[in-house]
Amino acid sequence: MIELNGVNIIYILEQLYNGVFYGAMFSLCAVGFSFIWGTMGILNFAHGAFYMLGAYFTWWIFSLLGISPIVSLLFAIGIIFLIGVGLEKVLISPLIGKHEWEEKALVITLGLSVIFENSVLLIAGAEWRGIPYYIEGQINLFGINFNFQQMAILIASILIMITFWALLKFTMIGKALRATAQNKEAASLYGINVKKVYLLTYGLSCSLIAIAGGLLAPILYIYPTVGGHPFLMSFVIVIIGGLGSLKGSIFSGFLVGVLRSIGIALFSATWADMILFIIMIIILAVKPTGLFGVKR
Amino acid sequence: MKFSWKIITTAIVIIVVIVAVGYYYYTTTIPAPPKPPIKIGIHVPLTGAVAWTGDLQAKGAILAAEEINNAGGVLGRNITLVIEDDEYKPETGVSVVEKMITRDKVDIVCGGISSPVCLAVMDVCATYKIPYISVGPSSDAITDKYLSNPDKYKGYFRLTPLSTEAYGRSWVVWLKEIINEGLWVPHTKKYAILVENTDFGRTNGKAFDDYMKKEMEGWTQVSFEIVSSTESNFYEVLTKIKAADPSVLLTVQTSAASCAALTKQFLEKDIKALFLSVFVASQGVYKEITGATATGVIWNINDAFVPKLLVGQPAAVEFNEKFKKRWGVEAIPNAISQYQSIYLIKVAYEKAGSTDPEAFIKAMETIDYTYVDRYVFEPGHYPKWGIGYRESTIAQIWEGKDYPLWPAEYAAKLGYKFRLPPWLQK
Repeated sequence: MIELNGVNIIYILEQLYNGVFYGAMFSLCAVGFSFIWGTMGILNFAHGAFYMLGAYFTWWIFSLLGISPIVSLLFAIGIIFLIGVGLEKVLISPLIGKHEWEEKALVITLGLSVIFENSVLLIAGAEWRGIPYYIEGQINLFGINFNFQQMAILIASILIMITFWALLKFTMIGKALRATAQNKEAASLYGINVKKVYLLTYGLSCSLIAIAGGLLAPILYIYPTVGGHPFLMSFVIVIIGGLGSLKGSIFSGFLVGVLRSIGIALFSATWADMILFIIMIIILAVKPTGLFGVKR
Repeated sequence: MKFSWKIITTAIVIIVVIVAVGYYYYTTTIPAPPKPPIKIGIHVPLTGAVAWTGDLQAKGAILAAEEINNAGGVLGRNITLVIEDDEYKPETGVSVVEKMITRDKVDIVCGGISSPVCLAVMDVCATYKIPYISVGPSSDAITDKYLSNPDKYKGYFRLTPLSTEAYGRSWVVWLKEIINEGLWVPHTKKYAILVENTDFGRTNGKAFDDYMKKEMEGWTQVSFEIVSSTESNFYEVLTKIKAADPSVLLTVQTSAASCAALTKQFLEKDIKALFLSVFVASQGVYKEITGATATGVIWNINDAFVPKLLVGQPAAVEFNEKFKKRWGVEAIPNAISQYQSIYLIKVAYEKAGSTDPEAFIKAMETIDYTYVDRYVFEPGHYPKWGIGYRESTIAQIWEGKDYPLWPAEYAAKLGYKFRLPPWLQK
């Protein structure tokens, strides 16, 4: 044990690591949620359901084909992307531009969430499912056990967020997405196909949270309502960070994770989620647009 | 013709005899309408995290009803079960029980696994004055509620013994035994508690805490964490517990997968403590999920079906065989409890001579019924706990199998002894 002024440093570092891991997980969940709002202006209440579907498709492919869970996850992401694109084309796209279309889209996504959960319940049953760790084993450094699965998820989450940022920043597609988010009428005048941008936005957003579902499945298990908590956390994180701000989602995701761990370390697990909502309320009271949000 | 009283009298007698004989034959040749069945409402969770247990519990009831009906029923009446899914939620429990009482017209309600559901259903049954026997719920808050108004809740009986004794006290008795016998030397006199945020979790965690403080001199509680019943990320909490360095970690959960996740993460964190699990680690589904990683985990359940089966108690063996034959799976403690509840209802109704609720209650209060367990009810309408009555079991999982450690008589008959878990052997 390494102590500094009576404080166990190793314990603090381990809790910070736990917080960063938790934060990375839910930043990945929140980024997609924020992205849809920023580009399309809708709150996707089916967001948690896609987390659940990502986990289930990973499990299904792994169980049926007996292939590596990592490869199963890649296939699952592809399937979720196609489902997302298909749903946007059939259900959301026809509403765009019509009277109160954002509210109608919200209700549709809420309905989708219920349909997905109950469909999975009927098909796969209520039992919790599990898949093996993608990478087994752990390493002990300075008295802290780091398991490779957690480290892999942390690294993968950060890499995915960096890749997504780079896509938006440096590619033509990314520029089109950003232009549409800023002003869709102007983007359209510049020749950007806004409908295709929306298709891509919805598909990408669903894929991002599906990745989180698949990555976390070995640790958090899989059951029909598993998407509820990630959706709630995505919502809180996006509100704190600012609706539509990717930078805000990533920053507040890590902030939420670390504060949660500190809350558990100093108080108890009962305080964990309470602290998040207290922070959310304070931030909304002080800066209603969130830490990095701007008025639309 | 002269009026003859003799002729008239004779004619009247003949007519009366003809009518009487005709009436006799008429009423005896038409079969009496069948007696209406006795309806027993059963509420169990058939969906959700505890669905596996709920399903097998319902199957225990069905088996009992089939046997009783094949043997002629109760008071000449067949039993009909009305089985509903309470979803492990109080609001759903209330809704389905109210439906069973008002629409299905059940004579009695029985079942349950969740203590909050039981607490809610108690009020529904009390309102409609329908007797209610809870089978799985074990929180002592249930008995506290009964005792707060025994007249209102007089129709309520629980089949689980008081948690404070069955869970809290039995752990402490066993820990003292293994320390005194030199089977385990704790490296610290500290214990931690991690429970789910339900009445079951909090009550049993507190019961353990109270008995440890009362009976284990020099021991200190270093952590009492409460988490969601569906929590599966325990890294922060386990890091905190590890830093406190306890020799015992008591966990109280009802979700097998949540406990499996906790077990896995507990082992990853390399915490040098005994892992004691109330209830859920005794369930087959927990062992299916964890596989060999659960080796060394010790569980406790407020039931002794498993050791009785292992030592070959005739009733336990008989029940398990017929359950397997009927359903194709091994029986679990909840199944035998629910099975026995149907037979208790039968015996009580026969003792009362009717299905009148008041007569049923009086019969239950003085009943002495034995099959796998012996049921004698205390004044608080809970069963007497102890050796020879409703017993608890403590067992250790080793490579996928359960090894009863307590009560000591079963362990001695089977030749089992506590083994140091693999993570404490390093």
